[in-house]
This record gives sequence, structure tokens and C-alpha cells, in this order.
Amino acid sequence: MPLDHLLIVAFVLFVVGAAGVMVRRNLIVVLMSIELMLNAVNLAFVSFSRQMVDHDGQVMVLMIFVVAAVEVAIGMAILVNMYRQKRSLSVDVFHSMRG
Amino acid sequence: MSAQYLPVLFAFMGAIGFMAVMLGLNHLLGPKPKAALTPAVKFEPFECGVPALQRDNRRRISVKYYLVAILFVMFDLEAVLLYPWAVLYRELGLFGLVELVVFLISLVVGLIYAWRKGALEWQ
Amino acid sequence: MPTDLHFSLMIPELVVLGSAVLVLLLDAVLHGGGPRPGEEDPRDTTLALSVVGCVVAAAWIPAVLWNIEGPRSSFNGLFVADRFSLFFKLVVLVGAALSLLLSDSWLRRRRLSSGAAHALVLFATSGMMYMVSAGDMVTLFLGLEVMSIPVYCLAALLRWEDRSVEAGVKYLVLGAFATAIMLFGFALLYGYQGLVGGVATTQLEPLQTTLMANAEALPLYARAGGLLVLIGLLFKISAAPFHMWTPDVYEGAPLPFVAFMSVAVKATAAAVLLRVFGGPLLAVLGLDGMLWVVAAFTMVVGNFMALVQDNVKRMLAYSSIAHGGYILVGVLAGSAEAQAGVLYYALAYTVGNVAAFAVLVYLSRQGHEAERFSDLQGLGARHPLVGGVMVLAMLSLTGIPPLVGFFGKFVIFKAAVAQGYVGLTILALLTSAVSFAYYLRPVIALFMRPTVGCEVAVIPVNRRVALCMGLTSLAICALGVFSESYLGWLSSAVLALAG
Repeated sequence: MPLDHLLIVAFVLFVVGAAGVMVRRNLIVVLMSIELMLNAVNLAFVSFSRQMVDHDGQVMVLMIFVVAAVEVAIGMAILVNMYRQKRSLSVDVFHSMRG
Repeated sequence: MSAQYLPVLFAFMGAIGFMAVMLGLNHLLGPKPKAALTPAVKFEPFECGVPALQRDNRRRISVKYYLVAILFVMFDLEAVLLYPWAVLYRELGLFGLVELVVFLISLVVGLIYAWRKGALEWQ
Repeated sequence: MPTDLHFSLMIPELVVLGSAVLVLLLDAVLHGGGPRPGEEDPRDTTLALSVVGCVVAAAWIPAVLWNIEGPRSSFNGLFVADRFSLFFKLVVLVGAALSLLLSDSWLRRRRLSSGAAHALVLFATSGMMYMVSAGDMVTLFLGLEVMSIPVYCLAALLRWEDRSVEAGVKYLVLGAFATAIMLFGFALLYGYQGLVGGVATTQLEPLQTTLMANAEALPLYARAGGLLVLIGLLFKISAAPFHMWTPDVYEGAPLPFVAFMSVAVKATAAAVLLRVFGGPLLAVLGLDGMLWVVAAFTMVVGNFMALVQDNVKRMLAYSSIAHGGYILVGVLAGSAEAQAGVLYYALAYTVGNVAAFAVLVYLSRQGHEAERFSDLQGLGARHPLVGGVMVLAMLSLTGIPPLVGFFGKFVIFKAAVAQGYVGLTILALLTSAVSFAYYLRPVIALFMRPTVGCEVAVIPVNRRVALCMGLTSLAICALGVFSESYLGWLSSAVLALAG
């Protein structure tokens, strides 16, 4: 598979994820969109890595995997707290601070 | 290179097309019962399952599962970092083993913390 | 057996990490299941352990590593312990130790388990130390996350408080978003280095060499990669227009940890900006124009928004955005003097800001946060020494000679003019003048407002916070007065970056 096609897929995934972060209101979906962006990054790294027969990019991908999982774990913990507080997971309930 | 997969693509397109044609014909030609005039029995499943026991099947799941799930995700994914070591463990020798033990000890510290803080209790 | 392992270079990091793990274990073993009433909790032990860890790590740097012979890079370029990174490690460790001192009484008053908080600060500190030492995308990314994830937790530490949880969510979502953007940039640059540079590697130095060598004909995706990495870092340094999260996070997060976040995260982001984009690379990537606009916008937004706040924490948040703008001026100028100025500025900002937060922590009491200007009314007259520390901090942050803040600005602006950024420097001077107006407000609130119908509280002496205030005030004066003697020392740190 040519490098260009893989990169185009990665780019599309990244843009879809970024759009999701900016447009969606539900914070769980926002976290999922961030995961999508990270997976786009992973795809870009492995495609370059495959093209150039090099392992550095794959190491990076492993690290991104692990860190993404940790980020989600922390994110879910904070979101559960938020749900207990506000009974909602929508970004619309953010109004305690302004200015 | 990708030409050899063309038959697969054709098979897929054939399957999808056949399905679309069948459903479309059914939609066009089949009788459409009017809800008000049809006996209720017509809407029940026929030879393909039983009536649903409750209307809303989306039950809430206890929030306790989430803690277990999060702990699982973290400890599970750390296993990914063992793969590079597994590939190279002969070359790395004793040094690699020591590094691995250090890594695993740091995971055990996390486990001890979760255990002592009561994250593993179920009640 | 792999070669090129110099564990001795990362002794400070290992000390900090080790004490973090010990604190966590102590907290879990002695204090499992949360605080019980009437139980003596081990917070004194964990606090002592954390502060000692930071101090030992900080002392090791000038004592051993600064003048070390032999290689300064290790693990095949993953980890670089040059003087530049050592200096930033010192700044970060100072910020961490002072915030730990501040946090103790604050947490105690809220009956919060502090072991976890101390461990989080230490973990974040170790992440920052790895990040400023990063010679490779992998170390940079891991350091960034080891820094960010504990800081998200610190922001959301008061989990029953609306504002704290909100701060945590906002910081997490925007921080993770910024990280993803930066990583995509790294992916593109990795591809560029492999395809054009010939040697596929995630190391930063070969990448910079390749970019400089092909300055004439950079493909679009290399420029885009640089842009994305820059945007990710600008998020972290909270430069406008990527600053939206800062005021809310600073307002909602627990007071002592805001001090930590504001100084240490910003210093780290500045260090990484210098390491990745230092020197002429910005212009090669065609990003200098964009950074010019961002720096100008940041200074204007930060200073003018700070004018209209009535919450001191929010005011300090906007002022921290403004200081990020001055740091960006130094990064943009890019000469050796400008980079030395950025180092100096990071230190000046750290001591000044921590002093201001120390005063706020000191004046907060049970059920009464010193958050709004009205909360400070008349307290200076009752506690003149505390008020004096606030005056010093504010004057230093404004940049009044001979305090340390003045020399920070002076060095950066001089270097910027020398590099031809006259317009930007004039803007920086004007906005500095504006900053005087809002830095005066807490001082006025402390001393001059009459307190009609409101009883001025007598605040019991808190030795740890007092120690913190004393140390920072001393640093504000001494670092300013004796600035000549160690500017040369800083230049040697920057030379390490260049060569």
C-alpha cells in the first residue's frame, strides 16, 4: 500500500477527531475524539516507520498507546466525579466561572 | 498488486447488490399493513425469537464496575511494553531482566496503592 | 547489553521519582482507606520526604552535574543533561519544593489526604525534568504526559467542589487535545527526517540539522509539522489565542497547586520551545511571523484582561498569560542573549509568582479563601510583613528595578531590540506599564482600603508558609541585586544549547 494513501487516511482521521473535539457537547464523545486523533498519529507513525524500515516510529506508537490508556483512565475518573457533581456530562453545564 | 483482490471486491459488491435488490423489491411489492386495521398478533415475532421481556433493555450498570474497568485497562495495557523486551530478551540478557523487574515493581507499587486505598473492595 | 548508558546523569530525576514512589507507599500503608477522625496522619512524614527529595535533587545539580566531565547525553541521545536543562531542572525543583511547603497547611485545613497530592507534585516534577532533558520525541512526549497527567489530577483534587472538577475537566480535555496536535506534528517531522534526511530517527538534533540543511526547499508537510508542534507547545505555555483554559483552571484548582502549575509548567514549556525551535529554526520553518503575532496578542490579551478581574487568582492567571508573552519575545529573538534572558525570566517569574501565591495561602483560613480583592481588605495593616511580601512580589512581577523581575524583562527586551524586533519591544514595554495598574490592586486592597463594618481577622502564624514567603522575598531581592554576577553563568547554560 503506498505511503500517500495511508497518510491521507491518517489525516482524515485526525481532522475528524479534531472536529469532534470542537463540535460535540458530550464529554465522553470528546474524549473518544481525542483517542481518534491519537490513533491517527499512530497510523502516521507506523506508515512512515514501515516505509523507511525503522523501529523508532513503532516505539513511539507503543508509548502513545500506553499514555492514551492512562489519559482515558484519568479522564473517566474525573468525568465520573463531574457526573456526581452536576448530573450531566455535557459541556453546556460549565458556567461556574466566567470572565 | 492489488489487482488480485478484485474478485473479492466483486463478490462484496454482488452480495451488497443482491441484498439491496431483495429488500427494495420487498419494500415496493410487499403488502403494507396499516397499523390501525391489523390485529396485534401480526406485529409479533414469527419463528425468529420471543417477545422482549421488557420494553427498555438498557439497564444501568453499577458504577462500581468502572473502577475495576479502569484498573484493568491500565494494568492490561502496560503489558504492551513487555513486547519489545520479549523480542530482544536474548540480546539484552541480565540487564534487560533487571530493567524488566524494575518496571514490574513500579506496577506492583501501583497495585499496592490501589489495594490499600480500597479500590479492590467490592461493596 | 546496550551501550551508552549513563544513569549518573539522571540522578536528580531518579531521586525525585524514588521519593514520589516512597511517598505513595507511605501514604497507602500508613493511611489506607482515607483519613479517620482522631487519627494522626502521616502527612508530616510525606511532606518532609517530598521536600527533602526535591532539595537533594536540586543540590545535586550545582554540586555534581553542572561541572561534570565526559558525555552529557545518554541512552543514545534520548536524554541530554546539558547545562541548559540543568538550569530549568533547578527552577522546576525550586517551584515544586516551595509549592509543597505552601500546600501543607492548606490541605490540612481541608482535612485532605496529602500523601497523594505530594506524590502527584513529585511525579509531575519528574516529568518536567525529563521533558527539559529530552533529546528525542519519545522522551519529550513521555515527559510531557508524566507532567500533564498528575497536573490534571491536582486541578481536580477538590472532587466535591464544582469549580475544581470543572477546572480538571477543562485542563484534561484541552491538554490532551494539544498533545494530540503536537504528536501529529512530530509524526510528520519524523517522516520528513526519514524521507529527506536519509536516517529515520525520532531524535531532535538530526531533524534540526536536516531542516536547516534544506531550508531553501521545505515541503509543505514539514512546515505543517513544525506548525503543529509549535501550536501544541503554545497551548502548554498558554499563549493567546490558546489560553482559554488558563483562567478557569487557575480559578478552580487548589491554590497552592496553582502556584506550582503556573510557574513550573510554564518554565518547562519555555525550555522545550527553546530546545526545539531555538535559534534560526523558527525563521527557516516560516513560523517567526506567526510567533510575532502570537506574542503580541498574548501580551495584550493577558495584560488587559487582568485589569478587569475581581478575583485575585484570575488576575494572576491573566498576568501569567502576559508573562508567557514576554517569554515568547525572548524565544522569537532567538539570539544567545535572548535565550539567556528567557532562562533568567523563568527564574524571576517563579520566585515572584510563588511569593504572591504564598501570601494568598497565608491569608486564607478556615472557610475563608483569600480569593477576591475584597477578601484582602485591611489585612496588610494588621500583618505588615505579609503585606510587604505582596508588595515585593507585585513590584518584581511589574519589573521595577532593582528586583529580579526587572532584569528578566531588561535582558529579553535588549536582546529583542538587538535582533530588530523594535515594534514588539515597544508593545511589550507599553503592556508592562499597563500591568502596573493591576499589580497595584492587591497592594491597595491590603493597605489602603478602609474596612468599614468588617472585622479584620488575626491570622495565626504559619511557619511553613512564612518560610516560603521569606525565601522567595529574599530571592526576589538578592537575585535582582546580584544579577550581574550570574548572568554569565546563564550564558554558559545557553551555549550548551547552541553547541
